[in-house]
Amino acid sequence: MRKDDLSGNKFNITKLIPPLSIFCGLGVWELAVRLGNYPAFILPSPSRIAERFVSASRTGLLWPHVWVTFSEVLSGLLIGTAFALIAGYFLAHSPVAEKIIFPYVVVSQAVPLAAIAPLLIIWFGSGIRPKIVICALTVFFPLLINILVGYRELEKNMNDLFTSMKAGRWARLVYLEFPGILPVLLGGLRISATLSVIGAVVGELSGADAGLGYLINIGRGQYDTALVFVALIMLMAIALGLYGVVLLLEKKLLKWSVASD
Amino acid sequence: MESDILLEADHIRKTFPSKEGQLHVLDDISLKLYRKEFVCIIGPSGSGKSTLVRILGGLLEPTAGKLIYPSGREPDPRAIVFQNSNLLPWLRTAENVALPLLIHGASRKDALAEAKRWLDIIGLQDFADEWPNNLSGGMAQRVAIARALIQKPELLLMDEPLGSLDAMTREQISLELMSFREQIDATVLMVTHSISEAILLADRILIYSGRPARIQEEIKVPFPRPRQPELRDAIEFNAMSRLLRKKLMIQGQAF
Repeated sequence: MRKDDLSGNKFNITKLIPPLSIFCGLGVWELAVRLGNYPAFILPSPSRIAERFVSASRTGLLWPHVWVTFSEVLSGLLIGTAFALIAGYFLAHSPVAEKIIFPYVVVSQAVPLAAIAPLLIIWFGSGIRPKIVICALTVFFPLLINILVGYRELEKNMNDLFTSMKAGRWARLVYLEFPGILPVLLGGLRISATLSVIGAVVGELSGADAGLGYLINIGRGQYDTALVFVALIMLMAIALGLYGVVLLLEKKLLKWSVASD
Repeated sequence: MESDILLEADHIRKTFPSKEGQLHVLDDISLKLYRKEFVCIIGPSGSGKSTLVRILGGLLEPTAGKLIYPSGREPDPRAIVFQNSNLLPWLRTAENVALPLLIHGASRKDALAEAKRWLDIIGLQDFADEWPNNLSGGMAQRVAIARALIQKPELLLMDEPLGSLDAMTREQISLELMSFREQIDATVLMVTHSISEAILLADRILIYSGRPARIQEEIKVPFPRPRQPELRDAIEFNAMSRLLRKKLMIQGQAF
């Protein structure tokens, strides 16, 4: 605690380094494009991308697509997490079920996502649904594995404690299991949040009529490379935003784990 | 007198499957626990005492033999204090103490109020809102003991509750245990390594032998209760610990 207070009160030059580094990087990029005289459809300069961002926002081209992708990512993330929690609970409590399901979990890890996206589009059409399914799938399996690991790490002694207190299933879930797996769950969610964005884009790239992946396809088709970059940056913003939310959740919910002085 | 028996272990055996066939951990253990008495089991480490505690606590089924409840019903609640405190790190100290009440549907307010009362008793009232990670080993074990006592257990099982603590803390808490002892109605069975702890606290001491484990001998502790810490300086106390040490040494155990 004391260390944090010190660095918080004192002006700390090292905190300026990361934004400065980004700023310099953009400067080098801008300079390279101008000096090298690259055509904008090959490599647009940051300033041109910024202009394109403004114009695309103004004409109403950009935000509907951002919204579509964001809602795909978020619904996929929530649905995938919910299913992983439910499946994790049952698998952790039934060794037989775990043995039956686990091979699928392992195999699923080896399936390239981009390869099943077209399948899902065949099955669910080109709307928002297949993308949600892809996002949910990308999130589901890694999270499920994390949850099962979390369950395995719950100490046997703690289970004994709950048994000796004659705790019911619900009490076990609320006081022992859920808080116990929360650290690995959130750790998994941090990674899944970004994976989910990849899932949505892969889905959109292989067939969509809306979303940032669709916008990338349009930009590419019209040699509007600046628009492709704008879409890319929006995707990064979504991923980073979700990542930030998970970090915030961790900070809020896992106070106990950093409590030690 | 039969009705004064809370629980009887009748020829209990426990074997675990292992790579080399069967591992006999408990071999023919019989013992009786009388209502409201304090019994200490003393014996070498790795001799299956924890297994015995778990069987008596209903966490583990014996391979052979059975538990008999002469009153016709199981002691309820049975609280267990484990070797390590087993506090839930995600609950604050007071919540940990309140846990058994919360689990059984007590209102949060009532449960926490009762928990704070217990924290007062164990002298940790200032730590009610602390995370367990910030407690010392001795504090954590005190909290674990409070968590057991808040259940008003009919049977309290303690598996070397002070085993992982340093000598000073250990002595301190064993004195505290002695004073709780007079306040609660529980029948207590405590596993320990410490001869003086056993004499100070117990009405009866069961001497336990190594693997496979049996109860070798039973010794009644003649000192009247309530006992005072000064008892440890008495000649009789020292004579008794000499006697115990000798008995344990016969079994080849160094104490």
